[in-house]
Amino acid sequence: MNANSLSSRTEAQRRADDIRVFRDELRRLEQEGVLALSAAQHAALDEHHRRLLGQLARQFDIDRDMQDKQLSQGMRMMSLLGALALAASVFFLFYQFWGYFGETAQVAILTGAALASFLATMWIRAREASGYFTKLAAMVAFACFVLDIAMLGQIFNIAPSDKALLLWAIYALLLAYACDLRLLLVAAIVCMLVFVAARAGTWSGVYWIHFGERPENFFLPAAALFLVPHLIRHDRFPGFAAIYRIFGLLALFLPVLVLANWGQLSYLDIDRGKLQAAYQLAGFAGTAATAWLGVRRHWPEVADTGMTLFTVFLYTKFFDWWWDSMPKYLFFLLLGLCAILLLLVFRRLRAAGAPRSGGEIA
Amino acid sequence: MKSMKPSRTAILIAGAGLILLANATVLGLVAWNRSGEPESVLRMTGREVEPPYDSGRYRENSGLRATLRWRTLGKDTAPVTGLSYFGVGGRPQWLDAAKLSALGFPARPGAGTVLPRDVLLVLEYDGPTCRLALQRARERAAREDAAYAASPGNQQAAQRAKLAREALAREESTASRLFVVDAGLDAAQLRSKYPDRGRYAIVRGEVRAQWVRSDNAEPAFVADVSRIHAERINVPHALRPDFAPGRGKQQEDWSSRQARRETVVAFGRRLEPWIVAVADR
Repeated sequence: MNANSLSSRTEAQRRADDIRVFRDELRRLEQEGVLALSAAQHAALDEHHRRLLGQLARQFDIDRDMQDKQLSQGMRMMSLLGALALAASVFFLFYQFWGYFGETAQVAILTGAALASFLATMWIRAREASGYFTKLAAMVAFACFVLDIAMLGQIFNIAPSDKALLLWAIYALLLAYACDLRLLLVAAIVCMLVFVAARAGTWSGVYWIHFGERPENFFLPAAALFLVPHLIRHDRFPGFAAIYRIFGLLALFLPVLVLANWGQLSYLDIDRGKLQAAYQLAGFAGTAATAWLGVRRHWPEVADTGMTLFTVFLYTKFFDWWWDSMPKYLFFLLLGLCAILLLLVFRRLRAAGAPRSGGEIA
Repeated sequence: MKSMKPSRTAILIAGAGLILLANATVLGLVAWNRSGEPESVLRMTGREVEPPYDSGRYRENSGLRATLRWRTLGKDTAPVTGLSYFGVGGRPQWLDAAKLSALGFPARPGAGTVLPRDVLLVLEYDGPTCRLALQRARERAAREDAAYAASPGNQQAAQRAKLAREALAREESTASRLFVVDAGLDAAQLRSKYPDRGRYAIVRGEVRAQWVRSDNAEPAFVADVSRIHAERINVPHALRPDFAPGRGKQQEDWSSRQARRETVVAFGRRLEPWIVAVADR
């Protein structure tokens, strides 16, 4: 494998990190006397890595060491904040001045801004290896498109429609995959979830804006989201599969949590107490199963999300049982003791699992 | 399982195509809405088409949007209070169990909450409902005046008489004459029932209902018209000077000017409105 076989900065960075980790481990093994390479082997290895890292740095602008990494983290944060600020600026800029233009000019500005920002994003993406400025441009492009559709609705008095969410979802998805941006993937997923839930509501004659008042509308799209990484491989898009799974789980279990406490929001016309109990049981069982699945399939994000949601369900139940009936210090003491108990349980599980795997990292 | 990496050209075509298609679709729908004869045209005053007030909130937003002030006429049993004012929303008499059933609300109480339904609403401008509202206000003012005259020292009677006179004054001069008088799911059916397109407009809106249980009685639906989707209407650029918010004393003159001003609002094939013209009466 050489630098030309890598297609994204993320893949290149992973390779560079692997090289750094390999070098550190090799040094430790040599110090412990486990492995000893000859001088020629060392020289060949060092030369190969030096050439490869140079290629990766030129092509993908990767972080070569820890210092670069820390600076890059700061740049990523700045890029995100800058993107959000620029997106907000686009909105407020338009709101400040749109009233002074005629309708034709307004439409031309909105469409032109959406197109121009998209083309600019593609232009920057083609010329920038690091992705920071691409992220900024893509967020601005997304903001321009959202503004475009929203403002056309206002200008021409179109009744608010959930179909706009579908358009925004498709556009955000396009930008996310084009520019390898997880933030826009999140935006696309959120828009799509709301659209599907809203559509399900409209089929029964409800105005779409009340999509959140029937949480069961989220179950099917949540399952579909969770399955996306199974149907479409995301090897070239690191982090995308994890986001689909995390949001699939959130879209499934947050509605379950709501229904476990407010059963009157359900489609099911059965006794509210029984319904809430059923959803509570489903929540506990589901989140425990999710955590198990995540550990089993080596999906850390699934395991973490499952365990977090399990804890939320547990603490919500404790709140229902004890918040009003015991002093607050005792309540929080119980929560803390429960957390310690869970830690002991997980440690026991981890110890039980270690001999079977032989210490391998999958 | 498939792996995917779109080509640069495909991304460009897809992105630009999506933007252009979305805009073309929206503008196409607007053009269709405004094509041909409008579904209805109402000539209303500032009592019904309220311009924006300059509360400072609009300094960051140069757009102007007028608000349709509509109301419903409920049963004439509510006490007269300072808050029995015009205002959006309301529990109309015509929104009974039969109507709610026709709109798709459940026939019996269930375990869950009942969600508001998306329906078509009939707006009546300066019609029989408005005259009934005025008649009721006059009768109430006369009734409360007579009650106060019968017990002159009674503070409560004095207060009720005062409020009733104020309500009558509002009804005569400032209250909106735009009422929601019916609801349905079929626009053609509603139009055949209300054929006067200069007095009745059909719009999209929302009806909300909840079952109310009391100890000794059967559960009953309490329903109201909760919103009209096209309540806020953008003021066209050419008509901005007629709608620009006033300030202070200037605002007082501007308000009375607005009350006299006739605003022509058309409703198109998609039942979406637009302001056609503004003129002094």
